[in-house]
Amino acid sequence: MMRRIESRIDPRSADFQKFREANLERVAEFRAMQDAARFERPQRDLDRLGHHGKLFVRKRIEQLIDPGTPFLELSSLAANTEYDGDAKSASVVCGIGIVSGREVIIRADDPSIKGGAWYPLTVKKNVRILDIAIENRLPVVHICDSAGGFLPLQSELFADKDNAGRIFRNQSILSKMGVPQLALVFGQCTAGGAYIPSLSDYSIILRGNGGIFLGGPPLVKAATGEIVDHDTLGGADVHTRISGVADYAANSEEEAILLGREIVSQWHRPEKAAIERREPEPPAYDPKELYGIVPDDIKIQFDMREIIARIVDGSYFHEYQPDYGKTLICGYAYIWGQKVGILANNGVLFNDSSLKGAHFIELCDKNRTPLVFLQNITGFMVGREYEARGICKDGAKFIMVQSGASVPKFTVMVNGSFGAGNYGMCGRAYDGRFIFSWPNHQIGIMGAEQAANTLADVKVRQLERAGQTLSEAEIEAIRQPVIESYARESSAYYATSHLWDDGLIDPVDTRNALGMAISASLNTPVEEPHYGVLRL
Amino acid sequence: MGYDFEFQGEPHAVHPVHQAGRGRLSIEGRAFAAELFPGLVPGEHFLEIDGRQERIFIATQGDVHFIHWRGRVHRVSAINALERARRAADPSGGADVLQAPMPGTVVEVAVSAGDAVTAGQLLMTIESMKLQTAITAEADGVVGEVCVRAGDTFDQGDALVRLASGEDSDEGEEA
Amino acid sequence: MTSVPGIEKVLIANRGEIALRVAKALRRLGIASAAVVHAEDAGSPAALAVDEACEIEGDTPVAAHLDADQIIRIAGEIGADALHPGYGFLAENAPFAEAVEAAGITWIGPTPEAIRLMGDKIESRKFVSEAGYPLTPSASEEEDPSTFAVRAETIGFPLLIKASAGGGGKGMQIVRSASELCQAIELARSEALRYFADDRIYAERYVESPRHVEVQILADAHGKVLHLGERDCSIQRRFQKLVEETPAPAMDDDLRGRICAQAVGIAEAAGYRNAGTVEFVLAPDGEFYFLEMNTRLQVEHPVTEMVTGIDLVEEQIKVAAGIPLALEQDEIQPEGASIECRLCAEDPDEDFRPAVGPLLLVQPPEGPGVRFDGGISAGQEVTTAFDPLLAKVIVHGRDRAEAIERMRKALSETVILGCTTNAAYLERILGHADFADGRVETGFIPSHEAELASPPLSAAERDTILAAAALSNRDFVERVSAVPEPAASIGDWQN
Repeated sequence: MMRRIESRIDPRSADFQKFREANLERVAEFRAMQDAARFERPQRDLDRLGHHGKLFVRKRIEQLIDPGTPFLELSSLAANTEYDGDAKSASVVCGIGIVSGREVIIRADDPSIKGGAWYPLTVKKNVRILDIAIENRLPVVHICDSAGGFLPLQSELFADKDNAGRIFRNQSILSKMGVPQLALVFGQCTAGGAYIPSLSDYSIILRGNGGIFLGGPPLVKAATGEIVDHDTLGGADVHTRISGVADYAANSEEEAILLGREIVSQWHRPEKAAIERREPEPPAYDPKELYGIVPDDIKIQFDMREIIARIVDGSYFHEYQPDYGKTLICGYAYIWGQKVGILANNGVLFNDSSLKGAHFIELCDKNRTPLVFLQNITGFMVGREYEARGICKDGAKFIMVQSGASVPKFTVMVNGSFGAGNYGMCGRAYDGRFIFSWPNHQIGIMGAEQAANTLADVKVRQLERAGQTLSEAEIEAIRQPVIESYARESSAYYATSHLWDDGLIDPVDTRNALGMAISASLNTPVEEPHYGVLRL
Repeated sequence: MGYDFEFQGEPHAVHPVHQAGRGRLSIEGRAFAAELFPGLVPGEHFLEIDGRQERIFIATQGDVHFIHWRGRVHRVSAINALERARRAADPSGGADVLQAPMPGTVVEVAVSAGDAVTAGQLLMTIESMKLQTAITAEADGVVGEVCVRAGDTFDQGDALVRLASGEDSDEGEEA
Repeated sequence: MTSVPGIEKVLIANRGEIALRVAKALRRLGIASAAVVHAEDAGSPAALAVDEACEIEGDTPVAAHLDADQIIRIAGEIGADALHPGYGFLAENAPFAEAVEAAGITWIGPTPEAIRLMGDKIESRKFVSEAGYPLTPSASEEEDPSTFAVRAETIGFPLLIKASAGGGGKGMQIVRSASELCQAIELARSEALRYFADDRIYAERYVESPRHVEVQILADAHGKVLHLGERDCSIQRRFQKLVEETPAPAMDDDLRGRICAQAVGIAEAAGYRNAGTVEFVLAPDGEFYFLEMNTRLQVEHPVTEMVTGIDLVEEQIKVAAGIPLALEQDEIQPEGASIECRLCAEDPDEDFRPAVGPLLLVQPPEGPGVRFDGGISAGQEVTTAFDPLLAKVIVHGRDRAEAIERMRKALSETVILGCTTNAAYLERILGHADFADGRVETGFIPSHEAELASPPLSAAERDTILAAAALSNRDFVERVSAVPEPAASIGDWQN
């Protein structure tokens, strides 16, 4: 039993219309960028695919997943601000889909971009997607078609802890956990890439285009002088009849994909973690109204209940402690029939709102209820009074309990994510299972204008100490580039480019994205609650 | 990936559309609300499609569905997508090369080029490691070529017999 | 306790729907039943319905049913005191009837002499003609070539000139007036020579758009001959009756009376006993000619039963036991109209090619005035071992229009799955305007070929069928239901 949120929004108001226009523009820009990342390729590269008889990476995924089922793409705009925008989606398409009735991670190299070469952010995305597989015990289908590491940037992708080696380490850990993997080898898997099929439980290799070798023909020639062609060195027949490196050979991508589907249908489907469930129903309010709720200016406050009302089932919400710590809304709701505890910012975090949040997380943890954080936070309250009341202590409790919670956590970056508020509200560092961001979202250690003013002030004072006095225009000339650079680096695009989240989403997609993410997370059993020491 | 059903000699793409928990189907790209409920007498079903309710009798044998609706009987066959893809992608165009499973010697050849053979029919006997093994046809067809003779030795993977597919041979006979 | 003195156990020397039909009559009469059953029919409804199923063997299933010695031996072994031959197989085999009687077993049918006389096409025509009944007028050139043209002209037009040695319509000329006659004779002669190396020809009255009308006869061993009215069996395909009905449509009482009287006259002249049928060709001008007599129970006998309320098989058995017919001719007052359709294992969409296959589902039609004479059940395999008749749908209505309505409904509710049948084709015949108007003739099917073909399906109909198939396909349904929630509810969505 829950009560329906009563919306106070007037869709005919001037503000609503103004915000709606601004947000539709933002979403159109986002969709245009996503479309470009997904489909825009130089004709030459598409021709080469056609010449080799290869399907476009998205076609491969479309054929792999069950017809009529969703595909939640992750980090579609990864690397969008780097490498001159060359590495669309970081040259690898990742997401969660349904294959033969199983929730799986699909990780597909994109050979239409520099032969599918791995850039540093490709590696980061691959590692992250396999971290997701580990955390959520999701089986993985790899579609391998990559030329290998992008050599000009090898120093950024090879040697460190979270670099390429981590991909193979994660594959091994998945196997240890009993989470199956299938590799469809549709192109060459050279050097490190050869380990992806080799470390998978099942692998299918395509006759002709498919090849698996530690060193390709040119490297073999350089190393030993041996002259050998691709097929003889590591083609389908060699590996499925002689070496045993791969398990099945196929004559077409279609055949391989269908065979892959048959293989996935053999996999055990583990019981999901038990949470409260009910029949799903759509929100009572139209999710498209989200566009008219989020203001066009990040400084304007709005009621997060209006957002909740357009994400949760039937817009039903049981609000916890409605009259205490009112800048943090806490309460229970269902998303696609799955019960969650929601923590949503309605202002800066005070002592009472921090304590309320910590208490509510403990309740959810004991109650086996996954947590959803809706971030729009400038930080914890500062000032003498609040320090005296122990805001640091109360913020620490919030962070301690949030970090220690055993139930799966999900974060949506709705508008702003600044300072320690990001920490309390389950930012990237806090092992939330998934983070999704809206295109209007901004993130940083502080707000862009505050930061720019701080930086400009420092510079002005340095120059003043050196005896210069600056005109307003000169000060502005210093301030402006700082603001621009800060704005760029705090934008949603920069954040998603660097995989600080798991992808930008259109606000109206929030409910579906969370629905799938929550479902995926429940493949992992939920540990018993236990915490660190709270400063009381 | 869709599911194909053959009806009146044509393949038709049918796949489920999942939406708001209601059974929906897409047939040749058009979406329908469709659910099938069993009736009271054997074979009787009620199909709710696009708001209509149709009384239909259905009997199934393997992949073939016999459907009695409005006094007419229709026959619809489910097509196994993998089998179809496999046939379509077979570079030999239906021809089948039987390769030696291990090195050995030909003991006896039971067929010659042009012979029609049925699946499972003995083609030749080989001996390897003092064990005799029967090489049999994997499918109906016509022997295209016998690549070895009695007494010949061969290596693993050597072609022993080439078969043309059953379909090809049928066409040949008709033509 | 048998109600027929002297008959305690009857062996049915047949199979399929007629064996079941006879078995049911025997049960009603309290007579023990047995049937000969070939392994091909093991477990069939007829085999299960009888008290004793006696296995017969033969080179082919049909050969087993034609093996007179074997059947008579079985009848003796099981102590049957009568034998019912059904129709087909040995039903009109005079030596068999004689052998049965010689074995001391009552033959439920006409005397062997009557079978021999009336069962032979040429002999019976000669006999009927000599008894003074009309046959199709004809003239043979052989009798006297010089007068052939003159004699041919007296037949009346239109007439046919045919090759005596011919068949299949080759060398056949239709002549519609005297002026065409000489030329047609010359042409027919030369074609006869060319096709059959034999230039003998003959002329015969050409009945255009003829109807097939027959009269049901019931006669006892004491000289009483009754008719049970006529049947129209004009809806035929390649001489195979498909639809039979009574009363014959568009026939006045005078004509009906004359045809029935003639049938009774022929049966009396032949000293006929038991049930039999006299068949006539009826010309559009109302002239009718004796065609042949069937000395047995007819496939289409149920339509007569439906309108008269008389069980012909029961009467056959009583007559065979020597019981006089209790009925009088004026007590037989047919009521309403009845139609029978023959459900056959054949594919009308593939030029009526015989169909085979397992019977996966058999759901007979139900409702007031509906009778289903079938010998089939789910689990049986339809093969080409026997003829393709699977069952008969029979309806009775207050009038012909009601009977047609009931038949159309019954046919569309008859469910036979696994083996193709002509049910929908029959429904289209019954639904044809010409049939409704009683414009039936033996050329009905060829002349309405296009209208009787399966109508093409609309896209919406095709989709309904595909949806039913998909939703009853185990693999499809399993894969659909394998999709976990909430993905299934979210459906076809991509962020």
